[in-house]
Amino acid sequence: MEKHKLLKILAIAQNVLKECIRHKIFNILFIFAGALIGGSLLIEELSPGAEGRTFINVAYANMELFGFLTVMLSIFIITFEEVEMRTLWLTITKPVSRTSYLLGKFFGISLVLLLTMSVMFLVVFGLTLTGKVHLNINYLLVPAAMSLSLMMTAAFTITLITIATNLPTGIIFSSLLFIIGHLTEHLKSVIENPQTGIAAKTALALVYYLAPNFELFNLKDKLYLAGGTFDPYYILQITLYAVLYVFAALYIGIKAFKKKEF
Amino acid sequence: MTLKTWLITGFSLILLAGSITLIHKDSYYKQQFKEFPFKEAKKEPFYLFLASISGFRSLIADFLWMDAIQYIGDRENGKEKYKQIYPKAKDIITLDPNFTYPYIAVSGILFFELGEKDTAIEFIKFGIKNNPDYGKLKLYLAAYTYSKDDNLRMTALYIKAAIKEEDHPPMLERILGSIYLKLAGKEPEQKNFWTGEAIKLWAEMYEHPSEPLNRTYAESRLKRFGVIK
Repeated sequence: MEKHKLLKILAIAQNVLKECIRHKIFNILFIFAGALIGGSLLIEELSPGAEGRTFINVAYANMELFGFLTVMLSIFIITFEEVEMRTLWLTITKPVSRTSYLLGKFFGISLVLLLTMSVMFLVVFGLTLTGKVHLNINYLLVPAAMSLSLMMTAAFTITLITIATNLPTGIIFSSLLFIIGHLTEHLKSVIENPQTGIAAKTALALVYYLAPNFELFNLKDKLYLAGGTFDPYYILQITLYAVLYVFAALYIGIKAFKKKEF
Repeated sequence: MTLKTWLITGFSLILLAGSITLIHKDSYYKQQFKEFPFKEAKKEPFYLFLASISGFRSLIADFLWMDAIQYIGDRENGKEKYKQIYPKAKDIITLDPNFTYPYIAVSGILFFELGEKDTAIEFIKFGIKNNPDYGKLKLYLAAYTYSKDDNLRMTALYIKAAIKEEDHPPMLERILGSIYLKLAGKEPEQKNFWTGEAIKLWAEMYEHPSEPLNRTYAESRLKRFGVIK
């Protein structure tokens, strides 16, 4: 049993965070803030009667896009430097297990993501103080669910890159998975359509159940029908669902990473 | 296989079964968030499709609303009597049935500007069905129903209540002024009272306009009645 495993994972996670800061990944936040502040001024003119609603929708869309970008850039930085430039070889010669290494990378990226999402939410919160939106707990749960889905994306991307051994392939597959994750609603209606053949139904059902269902985390589109606060049981369920997928993805990733020869 | 591997595999299977159950039983998701009614798309099927696959349904509903606003704002479209506004509004509420403002604004245009009274009432009823807790829609329905029955007093009463709400369509204020004038013509014995109500309303619109057009409109009315020069 590896001693101080948790400390090693945390050290790797901390290193990922430092690397991301060094590569100025958080500059993305300035673009986010600029886009949002500029956008909010335009919205006032363009969407009379629904200014608050449009502002918050634009803000959440930006948060999701920039969050996705943060995950992809962080993964690009760590993978490019460690795999493509072969610095990974130095790390794995040290007494760090491959499991700790991969988990550390995942937690590091999650840390970068959570930091980015928190700052973006603070910017949004600051702008809502101008009185356009009356915030409640639902408005906090939306980015929380968004972060969960992005953490799932991070786990999947790390795993796919590990399996694919190639950065672009991994990122392309991961992006496709992100799109498929939002398509589940349509897949279901195709499956339920009596005209769909048995073979197609089986194949689609496999995709439907095995691909991550990102629409479950899409609370931003459900914000206006919540009729009060979001059901805590639902939030708990989707959290467990995210834990499942992160666990499963990282498990596969670790297995693939252990078999890998450098 | 070691015990650890068995445990991990077993745990994965349990969680996977849990996830399938969640997707199947997701009562919150299924009950409250209707399946995407693609066949109902009237005007912008591409955007509707894009919205549903991207997970930005509410946001694209907002963009379509901005487009509808531009459509209303363009006087050229008056030549065709703004006939696209209803299909555009249908698309918006198809994407987001809980976007309440288009119900209010578009039903007002349909009812008072285009004279499509039944369509307006049907539209606002659809809004109430989707948003039963949003009381304002019932207020508008009452105003339309009374107006349709030519009960101008009750119509004026409900519109007066509606314009007290912060996010009412500015057009409604102009409509209320016209209803007061109609009442003044319909009830000669109360002519001064209703004209006074109209002048009070225009003065308020002039002092605190909810949109620039309302100020111009109020100014012209006040000049016509000799209140200002």
